[in-house]
Amino acid sequence: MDKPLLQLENVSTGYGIIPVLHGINLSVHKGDIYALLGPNGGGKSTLLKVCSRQIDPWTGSVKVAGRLTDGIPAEDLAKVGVCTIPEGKGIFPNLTVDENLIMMTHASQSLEEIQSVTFKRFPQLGNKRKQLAGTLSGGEQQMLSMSRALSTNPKLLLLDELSMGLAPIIVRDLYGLVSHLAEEGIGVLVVEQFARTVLGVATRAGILINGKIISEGSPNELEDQLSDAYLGTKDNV
Amino acid sequence: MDNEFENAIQKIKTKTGSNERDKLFELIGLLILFGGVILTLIAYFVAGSQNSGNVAIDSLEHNEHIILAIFGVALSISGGFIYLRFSIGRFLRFWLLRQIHENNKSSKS
Repeated sequence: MDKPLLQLENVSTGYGIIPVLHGINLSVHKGDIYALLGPNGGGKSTLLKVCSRQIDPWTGSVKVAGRLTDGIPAEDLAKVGVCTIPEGKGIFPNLTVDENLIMMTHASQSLEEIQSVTFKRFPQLGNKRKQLAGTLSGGEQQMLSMSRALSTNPKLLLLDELSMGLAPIIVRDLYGLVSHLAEEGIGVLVVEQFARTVLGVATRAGILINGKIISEGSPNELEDQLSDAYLGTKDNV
Repeated sequence: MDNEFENAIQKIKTKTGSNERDKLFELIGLLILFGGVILTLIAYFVAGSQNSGNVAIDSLEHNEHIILAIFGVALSISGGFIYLRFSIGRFLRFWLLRQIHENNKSSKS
């Protein structure tokens, strides 16, 4: 079997002296969509930040394509293909759509390439090239954010709350796109609070509560446990 | 796995830290330490060799050499601190690497 694109072994971390994650183990292979679900404050976004090395693990190891990432800065990982779409879109609201696309040229793609891929996939953005990104609708902002994932040729995609504040139909579209990217061989780790949509496209899922993955398995297996996990009706909180 | 990605990841250079700079400061600290000692010794021997027979003139000369010797001692102490600071930094970095290595080994087993 291939080396996993992303592998976390016994990872614990936190902020200052406050621990957030406790002994996390997970792996994402090529073509996988790993959905990490859980209620607010469970450590989902922190886990993504550890994966992209925006914060360092206290213990354990984070490996990307088999290499231990200790000492590798987040920007170097981003340059070679670890793409993070953060919660809250991760765009520059005070820049226009075109200027946001210019900001995506960090990974050595030309602006023309990025524009071509973006406007082909999201034609509505093509009509608003001079508009400030902050004045776009929530769905369009997320499309702009996702265009980074499409055009910078990532190998590992880390998505944080893709569905936040969006209409269900847009969420379905965006997850269709994520599914398409995974079929092309990209590994995707997505964290979500609202679980049902992502479980439809995920190949594997886990439930993260209070910094621990309390359950892991196929989306079907996990769907039944979700209500208990979120409402705390079992011994998992 | 995409070999291109794997190669790109393998090629990323990790930052080597400031080991070279620490070595340089260690050396500078040592030079200052020994320079101070030598200065103190020179002041001592020069003061000792000056014996004109006139106590008043000799004690004035000696005062200058005492000040020079104290300056030498101060230099030695400062050099010692600089050496200690950077050699401890290097040792702690080595110790930290060892801890990380041990930690990784124990998490694998």
